Amino acid sequence: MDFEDLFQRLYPSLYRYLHRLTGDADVAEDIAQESFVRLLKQPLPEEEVRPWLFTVAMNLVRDRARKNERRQRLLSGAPPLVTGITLPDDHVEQNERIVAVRAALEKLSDRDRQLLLMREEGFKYEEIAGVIGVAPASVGTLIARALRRFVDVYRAQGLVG
Amino acid sequence: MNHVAEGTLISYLDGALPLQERTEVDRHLDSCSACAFEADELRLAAREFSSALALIDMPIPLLKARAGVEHAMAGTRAVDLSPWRGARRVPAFLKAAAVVLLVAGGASAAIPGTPLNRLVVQIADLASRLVSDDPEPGPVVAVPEQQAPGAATEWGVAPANNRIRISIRGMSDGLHMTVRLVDDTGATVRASASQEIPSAKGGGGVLEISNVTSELIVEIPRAVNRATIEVNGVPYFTKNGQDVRILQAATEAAEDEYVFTARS
Repeated sequence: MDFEDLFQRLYPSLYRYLHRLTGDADVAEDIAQESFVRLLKQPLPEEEVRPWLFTVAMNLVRDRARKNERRQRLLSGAPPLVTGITLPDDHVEQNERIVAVRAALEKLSDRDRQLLLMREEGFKYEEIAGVIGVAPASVGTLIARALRRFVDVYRAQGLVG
Repeated sequence: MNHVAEGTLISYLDGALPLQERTEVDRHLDSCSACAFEADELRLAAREFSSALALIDMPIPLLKARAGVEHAMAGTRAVDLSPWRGARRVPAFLKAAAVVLLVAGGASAAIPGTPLNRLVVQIADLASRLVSDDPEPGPVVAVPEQQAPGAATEWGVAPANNRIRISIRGMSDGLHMTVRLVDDTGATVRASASQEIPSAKGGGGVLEISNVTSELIVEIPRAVNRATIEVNGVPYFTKNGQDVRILQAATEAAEDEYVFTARS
């Protein structure tokens, strides 16, 4: 598999995942790039590349969170920050919705957030289990509960609909 | 069958159950309104989660990221990339600089196959760096905003291996892009993220692309001598030998006359 093809295919998914996870476009960009640089140094069978990339990216997110207090706030349920997004004043409602989404995401545990976001990227349950470090048989239950937690918080903010 | 556990229900909805188990859940949902209600609730929650995420998503910076990886690897000279790229090392970034050229009003140029009456540009010598073999790593060529109203709004150019990669944002349903390769060579066209555009070969061929709404990346082999990219019949990119240009519509253009500023 050509690296170029892998990059075109996997980068959008990894970047989207990281941006959703951290709420920071710059962090998502940095970590996605670093993950691909590391991939270049460690060729893998094609079927292993995607889970490997997400695992590396998650480790980088954790490293950054440990080293950087601000990042730690982002990952531990502190008030939501919306970065990299500029909205005109007349789009206040849209902005509120974005803040509501981020707030609901931040209310989830790191594990639940990762589970739901990996599911959104189309990972198989076995792959999610491998990256997150849980039993494959428990993934469905964990996803269902995390989904309910998310919508409970999201709907409670009164912006849905 | 007892009621279906929520973990099994979401697995069912995600298509993650083996066939036999899926069939059993199917049968159960037909006869158990409580579980059918739970399944609907989970389906709704999943849909709501996806919709919520779409609100916070940002455009994928694919071009910038690819250049960033390339640049990072260019500085890591000891790394053996042969498993990915045969025996070749990472091609060093082509040294580049951004220069804004002013409309001169004097020089004219004809672009093959375009409806231009006149193309007014002033030529810069540094455009050739995009297509040179300068081995020294350098920054990405990134061309800022294209101001032409109603057309693709943001264009960028960067070297990529043996190709020139042109990134276009702001395409919409009404825009039609034409890639013309004058020489006998090929171009690979990709849309980032959701859309996939099939490749086409040159040989003097024309590649037509319409209704692309995500970031579009057009890759042209460096070896191609002459090429143009047009949006709705208006050229935005030209390559003629070593001369590579992004064209920007000038504000003082007269009606029925196209006047461009070249950026490289």
